[in-house]
Amino acid sequence: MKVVGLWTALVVVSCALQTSLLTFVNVDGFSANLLLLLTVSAAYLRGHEFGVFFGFMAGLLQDLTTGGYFGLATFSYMTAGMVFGKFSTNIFRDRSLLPVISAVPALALHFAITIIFLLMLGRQIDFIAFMKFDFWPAAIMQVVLAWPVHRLMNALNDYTKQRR
Amino acid sequence: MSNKVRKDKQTGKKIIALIVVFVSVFCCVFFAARGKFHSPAADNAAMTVLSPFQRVFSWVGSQLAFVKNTITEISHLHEQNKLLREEVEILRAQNLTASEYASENQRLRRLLDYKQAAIQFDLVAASVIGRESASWSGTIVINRGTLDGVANNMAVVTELGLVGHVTEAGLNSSKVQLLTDPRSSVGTLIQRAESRVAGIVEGDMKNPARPRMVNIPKDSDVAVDDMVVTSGFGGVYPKGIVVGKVVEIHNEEGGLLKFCAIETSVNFQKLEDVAVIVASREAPPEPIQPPAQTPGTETDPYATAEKLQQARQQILDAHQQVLETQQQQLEQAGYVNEQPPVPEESLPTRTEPADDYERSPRNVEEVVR
Repeated sequence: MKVVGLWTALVVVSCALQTSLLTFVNVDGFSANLLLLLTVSAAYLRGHEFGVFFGFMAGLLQDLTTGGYFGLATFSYMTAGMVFGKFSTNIFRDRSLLPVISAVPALALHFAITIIFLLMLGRQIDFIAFMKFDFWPAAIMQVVLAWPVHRLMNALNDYTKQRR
Repeated sequence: MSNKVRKDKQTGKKIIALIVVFVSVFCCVFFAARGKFHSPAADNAAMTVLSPFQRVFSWVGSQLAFVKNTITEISHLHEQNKLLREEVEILRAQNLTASEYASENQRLRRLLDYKQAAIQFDLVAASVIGRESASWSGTIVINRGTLDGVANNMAVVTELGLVGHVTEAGLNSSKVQLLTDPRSSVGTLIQRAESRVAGIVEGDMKNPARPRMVNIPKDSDVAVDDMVVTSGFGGVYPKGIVVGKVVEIHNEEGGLLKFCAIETSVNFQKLEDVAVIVASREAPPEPIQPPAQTPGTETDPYATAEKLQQARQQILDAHQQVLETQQQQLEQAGYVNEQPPVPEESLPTRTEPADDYERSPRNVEEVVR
């Protein structure tokens, strides 16, 4: 029960951080996507099933508390958890540099899913402006935060294992 | 740290469950985007859970932002202060230069005005480039020499009055002996018309700032505040240049003469720009001005003259008319024989009113007789 509470608290606090404190730390108005980093780290550490579950919970919380398209973040994080969780079966999952390297592809996947959804919903997207003004500033912040986030997830994962 | 590779076992049920979840979420996105899916209860619950954390983190964030902004502002202020200091230095230097230019402009303007006013002199403007001022000597060096037409014994003036004369004219520069030099002597006279007393102004070693006008007879008409001008005697200084004014009058010991202390019109301590009189001629006579009129009864002399001329013409016309009428009446009365017509050339014309005036009465008198 305590373990579940810890994971829940992590998601809630991370979501609160992403929507409040991290908005003050930004590059050209774009801050890091902390929940995406957590999802990728969770997927690396505990496999794609947990990654999908963590992505579902994190995305759902974000969708419920922000005014975006409901379900979009959920679907995107679940997909990221699925894809990067699949990698965890074939690579050394504790290597710290891996989430840092994966931060940018994970963000690219998240943006790609978002763009596809927006196009399917009939929205117009300027790809060049999107890459220039949206993607790279957010990617820089992702890379900066990836390593500490992964260390945190790793510590929590180890604690969970010990409790069990 | 373990570096083991995980071996996950996939089961069919899990895959199906995953596919169902993905499809459900996918559908949710579309339904929600079209407004067909709402979850207000879930929204409220999530917001309730999240809002305390958000509030805390927002406060922390705003404090961090405040600190960051303050630090940024301080660094900007430091940089700005540095730039402003540099700007102030530059502006101060520019201000000094501008003041210097303004002062020079003012001096040169005054000198130009003097040059335009003193048309009897050919002036060469010069700047003071060196000075030697001691109680026994008063000399300056100017930046004009023989190449500019300057020669020895030429008078040097400013718009305020006499400065001195050239003692040594070099190629590009010249030495000027000031009026205050004890070796200098200038023929002068009192400007006041009733006085016109002549004397010699020479430098006073005891009081270099105030030269003396000497050789004045004791009973001569000299008063304090009388203006002293050059007399033109001696040929060095042209006549009429202002030297200064009388401030003190003293009797010489045991003699029949007295001397005056003169306050020079030129401030020799602030001498920067001067003019050398390279040629002088007699001043042209001033145009005749109308006499002074009694206050309150001022009239325009030109307009008055015009009115007088018009009145005179009217009188002449009226007189001519009267004469013509009398002539006609006499003719009608038969006192006058018909005369042959007078040729036109001999008739008085309007342009000759004086002849007409003189002739007509004589004719009438003859007729009457």
